[in-house]
Amino acid sequence: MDDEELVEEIITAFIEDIPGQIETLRNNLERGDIEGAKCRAHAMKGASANIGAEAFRAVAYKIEKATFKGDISEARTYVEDLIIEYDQLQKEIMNTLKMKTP
Amino acid sequence: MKTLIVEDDFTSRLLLQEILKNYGPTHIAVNGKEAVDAVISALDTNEPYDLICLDIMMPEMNGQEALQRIRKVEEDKGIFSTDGSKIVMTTALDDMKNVRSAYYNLCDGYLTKPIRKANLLKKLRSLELIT
Repeated sequence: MDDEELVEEIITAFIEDIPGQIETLRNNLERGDIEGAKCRAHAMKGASANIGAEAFRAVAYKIEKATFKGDISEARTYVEDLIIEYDQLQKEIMNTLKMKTP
Repeated sequence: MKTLIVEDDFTSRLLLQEILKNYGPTHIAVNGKEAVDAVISALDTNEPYDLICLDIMMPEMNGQEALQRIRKVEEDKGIFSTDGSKIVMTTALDDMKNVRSAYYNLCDGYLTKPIRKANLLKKLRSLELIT
């Protein structure tokens, strides 16, 4: 696998994996599981950093910081933003990958 | 080079695995507890890991605790940390306080996310794991 293929595989994996992680995060926040939410936000922050998805990373980081403060309601307010950033990212990525196929 | 990748995030795991599998077998653990178990069974079969990439923040058991336990397991087998597995912590850029604690707990280096192939390979060269 060359580097370009690796990048594509990582990005595709990210797009497939994130909806489940957002769902888990939402469940964590609803159940008041602050430790679980912290881990999810942190993992998504790292994953998005790996692919250079800066806007998504920034929102994940906000959620992580809110969980560090123990502020579940603040963390909840950012979940919607996270979904918006994900949708945006998914569209951009799909367009880019489509453009590449001959 | 035999590697253990300890990461709770799927894409970070995939990224490390795709790069590292070119240098030898790679095993996966998704939290600190699995990592310690993997290290114990590798030592029991006399095939210890050359490299362990250890995420700091994970559910179940975090990377700091796993690091301490792994060094303790090695010590109990009479392996001094400089002869043990090379342990590289993987972490977010805004997590530098944790990196300092990790050095205190005898890690050999750290990598920040985003993980970049060039940085990873440079780190492996400086640890003399690859040429």
